[in-house]
Amino acid sequence: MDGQVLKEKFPRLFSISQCSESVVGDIAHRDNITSEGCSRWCLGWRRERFIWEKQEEEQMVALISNVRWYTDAQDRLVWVGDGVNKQEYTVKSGYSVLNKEDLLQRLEIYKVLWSLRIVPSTIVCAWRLLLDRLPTRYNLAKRGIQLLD
Amino acid sequence: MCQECDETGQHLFVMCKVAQNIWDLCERWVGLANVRHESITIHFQSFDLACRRKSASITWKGMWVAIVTELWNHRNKVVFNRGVVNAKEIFTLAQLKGWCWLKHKFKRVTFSYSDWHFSPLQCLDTLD
Repeated sequence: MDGQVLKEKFPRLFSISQCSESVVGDIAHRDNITSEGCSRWCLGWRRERFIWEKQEEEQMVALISNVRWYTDAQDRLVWVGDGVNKQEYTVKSGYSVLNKEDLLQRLEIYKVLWSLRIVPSTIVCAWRLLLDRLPTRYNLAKRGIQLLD
Repeated sequence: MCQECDETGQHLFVMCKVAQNIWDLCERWVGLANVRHESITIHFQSFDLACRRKSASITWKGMWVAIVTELWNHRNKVVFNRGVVNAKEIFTLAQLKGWCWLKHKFKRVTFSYSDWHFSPLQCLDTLD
């Protein structure tokens, strides 16, 4: 919703919800769906809610009730992308999403590293360290290998 | 190597007291102190000689690689060959390694190992 996941917007509600795994179709009341939105939801809760949780629930229901429904359309995946080319995937938009991470900065580091005039095998060691690919105890344990002391 | 924390790359090479000890030795050697970053990539990035020419700074990054490699070799010796942790030894080997690399990769190296040992910055300045 508006670029934010409900789970993150209402974390408390999510934690006590019984339908955290459900899809929208499961919890919307069929009879109440119109093209203007859905006015009734079957939200199951693990326990009685506190008053402030009920208020949050009202807020959330108000928020989701105004969403317009396309009752006759099939579900499909949409590329959210880089915020510029909405809906349609292009290689360029994919590239710019990836680039937003500090990828370019990292590439710069490796460029410097590999340009050093030193023995390549030692560069490999440093390179693996920078990528966090050295077989340290921790990295081995992540792959299920325990070293004996 | 310190047997106190999880052995992650970050711990082993930056946070661990053995590693700290080595970076201390290195700083004392060149007489420059840097902010120590906890992230390994930034640690590598900021390992330079801000007051020197850029080429010297980049060549100097070779010392970072030398230290890291020696530290890793030493760690393997400790883990698999019952070696004893010795920060000074790691650093000295890295110094030697750095000098050997310069000697073989740069034609204009005229300084001796003891020059390198006593005044590394001046040695680096002679390279270009």
